[in-house]
Amino acid sequence: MATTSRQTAIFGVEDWKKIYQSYQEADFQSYDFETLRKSFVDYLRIYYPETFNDYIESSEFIALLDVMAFMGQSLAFRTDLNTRENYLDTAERRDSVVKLANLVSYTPKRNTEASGFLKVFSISTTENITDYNGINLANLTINWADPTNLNWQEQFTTILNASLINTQKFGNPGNDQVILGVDTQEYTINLVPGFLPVIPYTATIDTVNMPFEVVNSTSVGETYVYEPPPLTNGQFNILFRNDQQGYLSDNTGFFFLFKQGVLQNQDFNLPERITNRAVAVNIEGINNTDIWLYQLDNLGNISNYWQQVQSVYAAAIEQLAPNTNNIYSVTSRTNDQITLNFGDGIFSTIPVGTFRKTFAPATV
Amino acid sequence: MPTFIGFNTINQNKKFTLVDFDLIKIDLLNAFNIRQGELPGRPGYGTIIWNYLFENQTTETQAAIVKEIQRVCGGDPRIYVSGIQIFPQDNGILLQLGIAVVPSTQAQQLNIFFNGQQRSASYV
Repeated sequence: MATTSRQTAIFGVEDWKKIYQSYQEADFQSYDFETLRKSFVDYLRIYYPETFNDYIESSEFIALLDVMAFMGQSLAFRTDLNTRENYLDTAERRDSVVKLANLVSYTPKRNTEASGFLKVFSISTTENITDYNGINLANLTINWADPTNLNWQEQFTTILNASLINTQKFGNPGNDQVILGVDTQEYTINLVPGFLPVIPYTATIDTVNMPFEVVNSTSVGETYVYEPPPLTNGQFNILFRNDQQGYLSDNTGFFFLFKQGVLQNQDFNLPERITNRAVAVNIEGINNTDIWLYQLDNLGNISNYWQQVQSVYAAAIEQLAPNTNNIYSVTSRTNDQITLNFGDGIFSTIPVGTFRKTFAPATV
Repeated sequence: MPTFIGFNTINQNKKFTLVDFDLIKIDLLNAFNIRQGELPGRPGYGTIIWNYLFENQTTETQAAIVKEIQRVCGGDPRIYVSGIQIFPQDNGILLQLGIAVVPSTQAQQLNIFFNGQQRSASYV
């Protein structure tokens, strides 16, 4: 007994048990209108039988209890909803899940665009090129693995070689590696100056006309084929893939990488040095991979490429190298909108000037 | 010792306790002033008497009003309605109600005016 009262005195403020005992008839598990109202009325009946007994529905006091019960129900619902949305286990709104994931430095994946390889089945040129036998190939269409043309391979590669940059010929690729068992060689096409290596086209998919783009591709530094940042006057590669199954194999021949959607550019200006700046891109459906950021000079030309990283503060020591400070991270938001997050000037450069963001929203 | 003890703020300044017949009267007036669907959480509660206010006061309308008054009064087990008379007025209707308190011998005739312009009922 003595111990109990001493402990009660010590923890008097925190002694919730005492409070619960004071309100032992109060139903603290009432959350809906009817239960709350019943709890109020029961409480009145027990504790104030001699000062109030007007329990008719038209009573003013009962009307006040109704209002309180209604407010209690609304507050309980909101509190319950907010609490549920604050835990990953119980959150149901995508917005909540995305924010909770961002809280633990995980950027939820956004939509993935359809992509793949387009196989080149025929080729032609307007240039006067002669094959091994001295035949002018201008304006001739040469088909891949053409059974009616014994020289198709020599003619095909001759035309293709004429379109490549000077340092490359078929058999001497710019990059070569085996990807998933398929030998993949990269050849760079010689483009006219000022050309953006993105070629749009449309295709009907399941009766729906959809936009696609043939894009540059490479596997440099990775074990898969990806699209490098699309730049005007940038490279445009064609891939030669050989799965050792013969020329008629689907995975043998010349290929271009294609992606669903249409790239969009948006320029924005950041006039002041502000740490930890966040730039919102309020366009829905931005896909998970195609986001690039360039810094522009005074003439509007691209001067710097900013690199996307998982977090501007992750692996901070590696990022201290001066040439790797132009970094940013991407946070996913509701409906696959994004926010570009920049650093604090210590672990990464504070962006100042005009920038161009390039991204691809979903087209479905 | 009063039988019925309740709470009221209408025309009260400091003391908000009403008892017995005064309480029953104000509860009845409240019942006539609450339109159906007005109370939070109780969409079925309230009177539709206000819907009849601008109707032609035909026999059918008056019968409907009487029926509605009986229904509303029937919601209060403390009272017994001994007589209902309806008098159409310029801006509403005047109601004469004979009321008796059930567990006692108290009885009174109440004149309630349903004001169509102010959309409220009050004792006259």
